[in-house]
Amino acid sequence: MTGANAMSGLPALPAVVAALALLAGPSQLAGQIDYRNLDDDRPTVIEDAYPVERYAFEILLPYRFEREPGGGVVHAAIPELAGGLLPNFQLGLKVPIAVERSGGVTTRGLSGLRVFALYNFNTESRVLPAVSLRFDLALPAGPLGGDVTRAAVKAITTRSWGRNRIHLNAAYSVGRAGVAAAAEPLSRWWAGAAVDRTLFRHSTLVVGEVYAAQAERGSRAEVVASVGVRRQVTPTTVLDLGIARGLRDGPSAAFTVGLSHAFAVAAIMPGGGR
Amino acid sequence: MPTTILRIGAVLLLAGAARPTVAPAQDQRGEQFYYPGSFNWEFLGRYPDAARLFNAFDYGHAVLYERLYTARDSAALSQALDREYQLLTTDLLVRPPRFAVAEETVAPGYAKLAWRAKLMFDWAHVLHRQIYDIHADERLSEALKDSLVERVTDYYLSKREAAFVTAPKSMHLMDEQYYSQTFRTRYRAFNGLIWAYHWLQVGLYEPLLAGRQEGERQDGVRATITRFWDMLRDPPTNMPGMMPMTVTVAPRFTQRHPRAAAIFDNLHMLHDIISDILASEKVGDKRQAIYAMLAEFQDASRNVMTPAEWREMGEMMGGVDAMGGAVPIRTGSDPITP
Repeated sequence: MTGANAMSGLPALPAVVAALALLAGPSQLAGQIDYRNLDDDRPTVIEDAYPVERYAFEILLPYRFEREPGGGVVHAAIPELAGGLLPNFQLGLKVPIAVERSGGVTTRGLSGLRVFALYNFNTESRVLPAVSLRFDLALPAGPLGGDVTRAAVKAITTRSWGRNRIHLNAAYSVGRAGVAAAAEPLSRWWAGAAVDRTLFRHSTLVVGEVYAAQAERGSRAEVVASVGVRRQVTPTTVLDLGIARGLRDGPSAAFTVGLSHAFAVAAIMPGGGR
Repeated sequence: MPTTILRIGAVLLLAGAARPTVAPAQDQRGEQFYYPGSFNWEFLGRYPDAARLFNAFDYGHAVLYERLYTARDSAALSQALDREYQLLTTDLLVRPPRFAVAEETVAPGYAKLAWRAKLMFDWAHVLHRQIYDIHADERLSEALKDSLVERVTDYYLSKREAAFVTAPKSMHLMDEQYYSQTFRTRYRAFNGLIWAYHWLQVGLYEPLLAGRQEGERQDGVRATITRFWDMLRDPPTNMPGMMPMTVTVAPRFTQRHPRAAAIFDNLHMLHDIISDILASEKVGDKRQAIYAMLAEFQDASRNVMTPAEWREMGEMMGGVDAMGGAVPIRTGSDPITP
């Protein structure tokens, strides 16, 4: 099955996108997104320490292709909605939908559910980097969602110099061993660093990362490198692109592209709904 | 399974233990989204040349503070400001960025020093932009525009920790501190450029309000931009000699939106004050001095002017001619003035 054919077999995706669009609402919704807000997986696994702005909602519509060393392929669409519900705090939901082809067998459908929250303690100062904690809960839903519930805690720091920033992420998850989700699995632990550079005249961020991850206790850790770019294409929309490759195990090739859009809902804002 | 639940519980307990406490010397990020509405980005869509100029202004403000804060000595500072002035007037203002500049990338040192000041400026700039958007939106009646401006001003004020007060603060805060006027007397051309920015930022409201239909508004905006460029010829001769006051340069706007006008005069005054704090060797603890002024500009109980005193202050400072001149307006068959 070719990539294009595989993607055509995603019956659930239009419904999810439509549902998220309904949540986003009609023309009263307008927003701005910052191409420098490095979200996890958009396009690198490593993220920055800053949440979405208070009262902002961010809808993300990414696609990811991954070729495994054994020849299997995974196509995934991972719609996500995140909201700045409190100052310096965001809550989000991911609904991964995937098509997996391995050993001549094709499986398609939901690949679990992910709920996450991030709290940013401080912006960067002369002494300290920006520091955040993030919590994820992965639930085994759908034919590609695996069979385990896992929770993870992640520490995130961001430090800048000039137009560059370095981001360090380290995460550990708990939950029993079992079959992991095909898309967006929560590894037992993962840690890595990313460096980005802002090209402010072009509203573009270029980013590169290296991270290590261990799927299960006792398994061999994979090491993956990736590079990507985020670019503001309208005042409220960011396009991202990225490629990745396993340096030790991990995917033999991966590609991702996505759009992010920010908006707000007047009815839940101060003075809103008048 | 019980073990799994216990472990998940431990993670959640850790989450609870990680309470959001911040050391006093640390600022919280505190960013907030702007008020939504279909008017957003109308100014960029209908008046892109004017809207994009503000992106270059963002760079100009940010780079000024960074150079003032990080320069090794006065000679290095003079050279750096000369280079930035050239870059701004021959490149960035001529070919401004399409979208807003991330000021943290231009002024990383200043942003770490005084994040709350940057946040207050950003928040006021959002209000600036939204009011342009509302008055540029040809779908809205004048009454609805007025109502929306007051609504976005209310929303701006609801974020109290980042909002300027709506009472015009006394000019002695800018002119009678022990560090006052350091920047403007040493770097006249760069200061004139900043004041020319501020003239345009408030002056552009006048053609948007005075124009009776879009053609008049477009002509007025073009003429106002032309006047801005005229100021940059032979610097600092044609630049404002006094800080442009909204009440003086934009009387129509001040009459219709007095709260926003006072906010913008306070914003522009604080811009100048921080320039002086960063430029003056007399100020040891820059952060403390800046944060003391932030508190002052969030306090409406002292050092404020009455509306009458505010208008009189503009005249006492030399009137509109000293502040860059009147905004050229075209209405109906009247010629553009002056």
